[in-house]
Amino acid sequence: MHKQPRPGSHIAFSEKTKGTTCLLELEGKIDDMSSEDVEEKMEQLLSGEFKKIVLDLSRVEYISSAGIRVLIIAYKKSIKSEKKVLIEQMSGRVRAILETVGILPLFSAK
Amino acid sequence: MVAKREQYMIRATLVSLFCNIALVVIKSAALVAVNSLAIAVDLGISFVGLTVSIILYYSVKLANKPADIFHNFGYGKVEHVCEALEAVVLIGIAIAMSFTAASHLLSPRHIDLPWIGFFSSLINVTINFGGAYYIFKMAKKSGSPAIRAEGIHYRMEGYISSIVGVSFVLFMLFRNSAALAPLAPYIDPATAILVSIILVVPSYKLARSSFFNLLDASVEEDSQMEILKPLTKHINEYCEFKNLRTRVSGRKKFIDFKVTVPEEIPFIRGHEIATLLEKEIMQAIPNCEVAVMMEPCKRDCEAIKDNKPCPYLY
Repeated sequence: MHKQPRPGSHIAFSEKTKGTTCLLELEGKIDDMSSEDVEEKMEQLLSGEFKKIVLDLSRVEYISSAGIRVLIIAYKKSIKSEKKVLIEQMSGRVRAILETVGILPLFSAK
Repeated sequence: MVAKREQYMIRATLVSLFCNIALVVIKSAALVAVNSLAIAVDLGISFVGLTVSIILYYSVKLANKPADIFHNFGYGKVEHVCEALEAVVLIGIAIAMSFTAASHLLSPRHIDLPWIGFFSSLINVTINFGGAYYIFKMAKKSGSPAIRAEGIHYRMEGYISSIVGVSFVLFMLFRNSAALAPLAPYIDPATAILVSIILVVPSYKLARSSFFNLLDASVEEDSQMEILKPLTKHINEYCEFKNLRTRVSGRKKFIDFKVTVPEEIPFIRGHEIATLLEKEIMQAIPNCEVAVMMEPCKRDCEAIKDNKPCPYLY
């Protein structure tokens, strides 16, 4: 079970399940304060029964380097556990940051 | 490249040193002629500036010394010591001068020859802003936080001298107006308090950042992003990365992390991956040292469990 967000964390999660796919919607900022909450959540989902985790970042205002680090770790864990992590939607600002770092193709369905 | 950076830093410290000598001489002469508390605060700041410039000159030489057996990570932190010293002394001056100014508000003192105070402030403003422009230029070229702190000091001193200059204009206007003349003696101590308040805010910020850096602060967000770019670019060449640690020491940045590589690959291949990551990070972040340690995978991924080939072998 996911714990309560840490004090100062600006992130909220909502989860929808469809078969072996989990749609995880994030809302807020993925920064130094909240990245550990996101990491914990991803860890929990990747160690569960889901084969595919779809992230909806359309309501995420900002993602810092700490957040990108969490995404890279999640991608690596998904390879290790033969699962898939995808990003389906994202805000313009988040897209720009992910494109700059070059991480976006790792989470695309193509 | 290192020698050039050192040259920029030494040039900046020499300019700072000579400008501070000029400022101390001009302000001392003005203080004797004008008898103004605001000039006394301004002179105090320049005196600290001069002392710091001398310390900075030697700090720059020390900071550029290569790492040795006693200091394995070099001497970069001396720059943060210099910053912290400057900030603490400036806060001390501001507090001391505020108390003096408060006592002068209760029993105002006479000011002589305010026009000399005004012209000396005008010269000081020119020296400060000219010096700040050059020092900032050198700070950008060398990437030195101590030189940047010196630039901030000069710019702040320029604003302070501007306020002091304006206070003399106000003093002369008030003195010549029958209605405002009783208020004229309060302008000088009020200016000294205002200058002290202005001095405290950036000095506090400088003290805070230098103390954080002395406590091994991580590198700033832009550099963190630059570290992640090669890790993303070469993501299919290693299994995992972990224990990423960064720290700032003067203008130098230290980065280290571990990469897990398939245990089947030859040692030389693992070394190539680590070297590639180190090289690309060092190219993206100036003045940094990167250490990538490699460790073999624990063969605990699903592919190995299912007797499939390792996804990272090619």
